[in-house]
Amino acid sequence: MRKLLTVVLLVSASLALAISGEEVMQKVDAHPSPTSLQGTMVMRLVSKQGKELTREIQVWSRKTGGEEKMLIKFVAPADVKGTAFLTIKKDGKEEMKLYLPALKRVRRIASSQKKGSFMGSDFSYDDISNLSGMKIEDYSHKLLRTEKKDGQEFYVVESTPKPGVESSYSKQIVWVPADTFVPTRIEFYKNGKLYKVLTNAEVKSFAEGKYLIPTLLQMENVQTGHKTVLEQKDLKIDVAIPDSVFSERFMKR
Amino acid sequence: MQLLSQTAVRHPWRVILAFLIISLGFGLGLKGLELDNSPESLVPPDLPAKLLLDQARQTFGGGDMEFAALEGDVWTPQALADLRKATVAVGQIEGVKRVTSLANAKRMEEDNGFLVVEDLLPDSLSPAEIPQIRAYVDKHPLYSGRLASKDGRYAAVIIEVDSKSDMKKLNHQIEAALTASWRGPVHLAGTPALSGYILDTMARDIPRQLLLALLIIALVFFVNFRSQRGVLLPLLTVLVSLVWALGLGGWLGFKLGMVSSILPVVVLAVGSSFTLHVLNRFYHELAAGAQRREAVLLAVRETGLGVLVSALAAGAGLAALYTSSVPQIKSFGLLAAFGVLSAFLASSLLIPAVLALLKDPRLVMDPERPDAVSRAMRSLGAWLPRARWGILLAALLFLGVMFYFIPRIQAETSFLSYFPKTAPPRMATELVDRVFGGSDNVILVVDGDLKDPELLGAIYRFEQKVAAYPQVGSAASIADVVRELHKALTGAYGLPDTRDGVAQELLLYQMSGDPEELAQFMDEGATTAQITVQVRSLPSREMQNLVARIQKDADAIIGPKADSVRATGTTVLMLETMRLILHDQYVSLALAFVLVALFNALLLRSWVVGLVSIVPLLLTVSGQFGLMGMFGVPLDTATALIGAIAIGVGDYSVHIIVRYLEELRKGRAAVAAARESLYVSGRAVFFTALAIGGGFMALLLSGFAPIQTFAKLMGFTVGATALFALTALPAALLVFVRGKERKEVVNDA
Repeated sequence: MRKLLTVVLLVSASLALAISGEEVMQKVDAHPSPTSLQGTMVMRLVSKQGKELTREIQVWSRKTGGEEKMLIKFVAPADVKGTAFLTIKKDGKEEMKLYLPALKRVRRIASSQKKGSFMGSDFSYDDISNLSGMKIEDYSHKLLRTEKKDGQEFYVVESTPKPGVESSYSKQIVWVPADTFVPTRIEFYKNGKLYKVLTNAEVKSFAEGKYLIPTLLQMENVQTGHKTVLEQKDLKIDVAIPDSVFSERFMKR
Repeated sequence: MQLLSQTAVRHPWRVILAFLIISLGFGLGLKGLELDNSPESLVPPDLPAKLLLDQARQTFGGGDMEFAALEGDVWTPQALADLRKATVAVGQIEGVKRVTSLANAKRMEEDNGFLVVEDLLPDSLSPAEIPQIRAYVDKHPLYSGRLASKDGRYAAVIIEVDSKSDMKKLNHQIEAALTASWRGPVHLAGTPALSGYILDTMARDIPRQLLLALLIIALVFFVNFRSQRGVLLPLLTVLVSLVWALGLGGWLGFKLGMVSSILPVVVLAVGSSFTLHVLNRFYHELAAGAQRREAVLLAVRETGLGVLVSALAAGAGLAALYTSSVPQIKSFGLLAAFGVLSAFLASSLLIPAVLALLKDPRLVMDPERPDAVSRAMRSLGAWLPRARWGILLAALLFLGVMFYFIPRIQAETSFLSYFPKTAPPRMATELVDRVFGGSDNVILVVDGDLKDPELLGAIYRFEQKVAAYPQVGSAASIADVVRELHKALTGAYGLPDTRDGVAQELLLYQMSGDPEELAQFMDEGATTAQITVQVRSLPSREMQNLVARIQKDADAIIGPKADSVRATGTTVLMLETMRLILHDQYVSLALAFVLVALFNALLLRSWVVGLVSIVPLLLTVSGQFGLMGMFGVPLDTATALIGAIAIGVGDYSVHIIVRYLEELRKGRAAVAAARESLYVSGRAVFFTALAIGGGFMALLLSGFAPIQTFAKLMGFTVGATALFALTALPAALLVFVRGKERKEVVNDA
């Protein structure tokens, strides 16, 4: 009897863990990402005391060859309306421009603030760029366990930066649904302590199921109690965005 | 009393067992007793400035400010790397809410046509980069002289800690983290550092003081009784009362602060005196030929009234402190009163029970044999009746002089004043005051539209004004951040002209780093901001003037542009507490006098006697405060207690009254009654004063200046109460209580 039980346990364990952490993350990374994206982002910043502040921005982004361009323009609140940021990444170099309507001038910014906050939210620039997939080769991935919740099966993977890789976090724990492989929850740890928690409450499919994109995200800073709810609206995927959008003239418009 | 003594003598084992069980119950509470001397333990929780500070901490994060000065040549790659290591290490300590140093400062400037917003210190530094960084820091208003001293000899690490943390542990951790990373000396200043040091000192002082007080009291008792049980029994009483009082504190979740560290000695000194009276009488009766059991019964019955009255009076005087709004003083009052009543129970139940079981003492000596003390009392008794009017006149004159000086008393709540000048945190604080312009701060919470350039301009003008005061180091707020950013964007210092301009520059700043960085100056909605004014550590009076001036400037300059501007901060809280201490002092003293007079009047069945009984106390207490006013001794959290404690320990004069009334009852004339009461009770009063006064002298060992001052004042108090009890009291009795009040006082009680 005891032998049988051992065998059953071994078999079920090997079945459950038939996939490795590396494999899970490769499947996550295998999702294609759109070549262009245009839409509106509504950010609700919620303080620990429950005070809310809403910011609305318009985003245009495009990937062509080795070049990535992104333009962000504030729509609300009224006092920052028209404030625009243009980022152009080419051959590993990044150029940032800023337009403040009150100054009526476009300024070039030398910013190396990868860890900095994205538009003053709880998301960092790193977090935002990792949304379309983190550089999985920079991390070691270990499958911690599988979990079942609401009838859905999840792989729980711990990703730690490889030696020499600079990362904002000391580790991340990622919940990956076994069916979609689009992470629904990520815990970010800093110096071994839980720092932020990302939840993807809604994942929509675009281009007839070609893309799976989180459209309602929440990032909570566990240490300060502050959180940001990010909603992506009116998304247009893989549409042609002309070069004139990523220009100083368009920024000022 | 009769019931108590009979129970004790009939069922000694049951009484002892009951005491053992109760003591065990309270003793278990001892584990829960904690030390805490944070400003929180001193500040009433509902103080408006406290509520404002709590709210500011919620909104802007941060906490009590600890200031570390790291000594050494700051401008080398090695030192800056060490500083970064130290900053990271401290930031990881539990209870540290924010760390600010050059290592996490920002560089924001125009560089080759680019707006640069980045960390001031790059990840790796070469010696060639340092002059440029130093030049930037030197002209930056928020960094120069604040994060690095102008001469480059000190780097600052400003550590904000959760005010609810265990400061002792936290302080050790911070010190360890800093010294592990930094190669030179590390100086720690600020309230958390002082609190940590206070707790260390308390943990060291309390057992030492207790032991020394025990030794002194034991010695006095030995001189009085010349027997082992004469020493051990009073000590048994105080042991019981200490366990009960401290155990109750543990069960109730009280924390002992600097003030309550004197609790054990107070209970010890007051508690032991009760047993002294019982034993005195016991030996007296034995010497008069009574059997042991009979002697116990007589001793408790005869001294019982005096002990009861003085226990109730002491309890009332101490319990009156419960009206204080200062949490630490409140809990001290309650526990001390409970301790005194426990000592009363022990001396009138437990001690008789033990005496009933013990064999007859081998050497039955008469403690009232005419030794030097008794002879002195006899001469006093002979002289006093003739001089009674003169004595009363002198007492009145004394009162007048003391009342003249009482209003000159000044209160002091600065933590720094607790320490001798050579204590490390005091020296560190003085260093930080000198090098960095202040280790303390005053916070102004501004409510209004912070995107309004006019309000920001007003805040900036206010900062310029207060920063020019010699007691102020610097001031920092969102206005400085916007000015820096505006300069980086436009090349000129100033503020944007429009509200939108401010909003957009703030947005840029928020995007360029951690949103937390802005959160320390302003809330996200830009409706409330805090201005941090860095100030030197000052004596309370000067600090009060400075805070008043800062608030006045804020009202005049910022007020018209804002919804409100209010001052708070740890220092402001301590100042508010000081005002309360002064106010409470009068309330609790008045209450204590009324209670003591009331008890004495009720128990001795005469209003006149009740009033006369407080004569020595009135003289002593006005003497204490008069002397403090005369010699400039400040009223602080420790010395604020002396009035109430004087009433607690000083009521042994009641024994003289009881004896005097007893003699009148026996039909003696007033003069003869006064002589007899001085001769019989005078000796006990003398030795009680010696024991209590000696016990308090143990507090001279304390590492805190206020406690040492307290000990000296208690020395005066105990001496003065004894002196007044032996002179002014009998004189007043002779004048006001001449026999009409002859009542069956003793037996009725």
